Amino acid sequence: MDRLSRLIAYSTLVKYLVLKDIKVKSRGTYLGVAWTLMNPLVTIVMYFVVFQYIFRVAIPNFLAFFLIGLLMWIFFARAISTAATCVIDNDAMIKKAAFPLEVLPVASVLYHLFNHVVALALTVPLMLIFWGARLSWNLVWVVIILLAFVGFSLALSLVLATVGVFFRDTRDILEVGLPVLFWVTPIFYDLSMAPGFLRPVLESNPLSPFIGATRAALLEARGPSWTELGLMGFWISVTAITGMWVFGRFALRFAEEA
Amino acid sequence: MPPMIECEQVSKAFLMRSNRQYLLKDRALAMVRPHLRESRKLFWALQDVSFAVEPGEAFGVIGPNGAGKTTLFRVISGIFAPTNGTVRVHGRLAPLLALGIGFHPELTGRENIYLSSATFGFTTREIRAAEEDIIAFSELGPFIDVPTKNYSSGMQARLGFAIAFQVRPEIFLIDEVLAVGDAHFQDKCLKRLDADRHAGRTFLVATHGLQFVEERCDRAALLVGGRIVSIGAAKDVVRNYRDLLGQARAPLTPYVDA
Repeated sequence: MDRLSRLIAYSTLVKYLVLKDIKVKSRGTYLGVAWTLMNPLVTIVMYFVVFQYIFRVAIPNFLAFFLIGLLMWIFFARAISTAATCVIDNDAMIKKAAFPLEVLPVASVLYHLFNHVVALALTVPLMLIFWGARLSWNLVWVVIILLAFVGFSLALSLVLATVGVFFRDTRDILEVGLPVLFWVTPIFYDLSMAPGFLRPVLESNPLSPFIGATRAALLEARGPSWTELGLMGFWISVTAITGMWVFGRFALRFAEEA
Repeated sequence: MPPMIECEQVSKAFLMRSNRQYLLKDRALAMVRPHLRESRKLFWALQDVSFAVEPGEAFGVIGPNGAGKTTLFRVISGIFAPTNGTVRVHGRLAPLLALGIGFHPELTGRENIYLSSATFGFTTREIRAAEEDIIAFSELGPFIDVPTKNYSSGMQARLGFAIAFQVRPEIFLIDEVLAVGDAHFQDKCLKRLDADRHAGRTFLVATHGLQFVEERCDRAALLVGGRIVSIGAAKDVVRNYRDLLGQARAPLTPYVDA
């Protein structure tokens, strides 16, 4: 609780760190922030062409369907890989200034959230008008689930930020592990399409309920199922408790180890 | 009134490791090949350091390089956790362990004012109120909207100093950042420092400038090899240090524990 109130007292620092990332990324380039969207845009077009026209998947509204999953994945993957190095990347600062170190993972997650929100602002209207998403009050769930997803990603970032200080190859391990996680996450398919023996694996993936529930709200105009709510709640609690404990336990050693 | 800073038998040990195992891979290898294992030595950077700084006092910490001055200040600021002993701070403390903390070269001077001030816990409103004073004190004029990567080191230091002086905590912790800029700017800094002293602020200063300690500090402590060897009126402690420097045949090296 004490750490939380200190973090709130330093929310201005979070704000300027996020602004720094946004400005530094866009400064001196012609397209500015658009460059951070370019990579996902190209990926999206390629995947869409391959899956829609070559594999000919039979999922209705496939473009919106996989776009929701892919954008959430991109946010998650970028957020946690940056988190793994966010402390050591700022080693000069943490040795000289006394601020709550939670500021660093929080700022890095919020920076990726900014990009994610820009991507959503560009694509959700298109989904609603052309790609089969349905306008209803259930869209409120999209926002609620997004906040929950940010909380989950942040909690996991606290764990990875800590591990990243003590093991410098955390980022390399993530680079190997994330592509595996990518394919066991329901991005191009739905859990219901998987054969029985794969179900337990896919259902135990913490990303599944978040993506599934967002799709349901946008494409089927319905709220999350009780199973999805339970799973999201479970994963958030587990990662939040672990993340806050681990980070709080080791934060005082970061300045020495970084 | 209680002392502003109280250190009671503060000790700080660092692990000196050869074969530092930053990578998970290295740890795995070391299990099979014992000669790759880390060898660790304890290095005592501070041992049984006890002193108190009274309200409104200017307290100097002097000693040779590697005596533990910076470590002591980091422990007092809460950047390092002490290995033994306790540190109590009564009042708002700002550590000035370096100038221009948090500066990003791609940002302009003005943007860096906001980022750097936020590391001290200021809010946007407070920074905005101080902004013009900071720019005036730094004498950067029109260059304030130029990226700091184009600044000379003297310009960067002046901006860093101007920000540091705008931080108006009850307790100032200054680690060897006083020798900055040309004679004119140094003079201005000292005047500002004196004004702050007369306003009743508490100062803890680590420096190699013995004249500064004699003229401006009430009391001082001499730190050698992580231990306080002399503490008392500033003039006496400086005299002891000069004697020590005069007869220093034995190297003033810190203590290593195998």
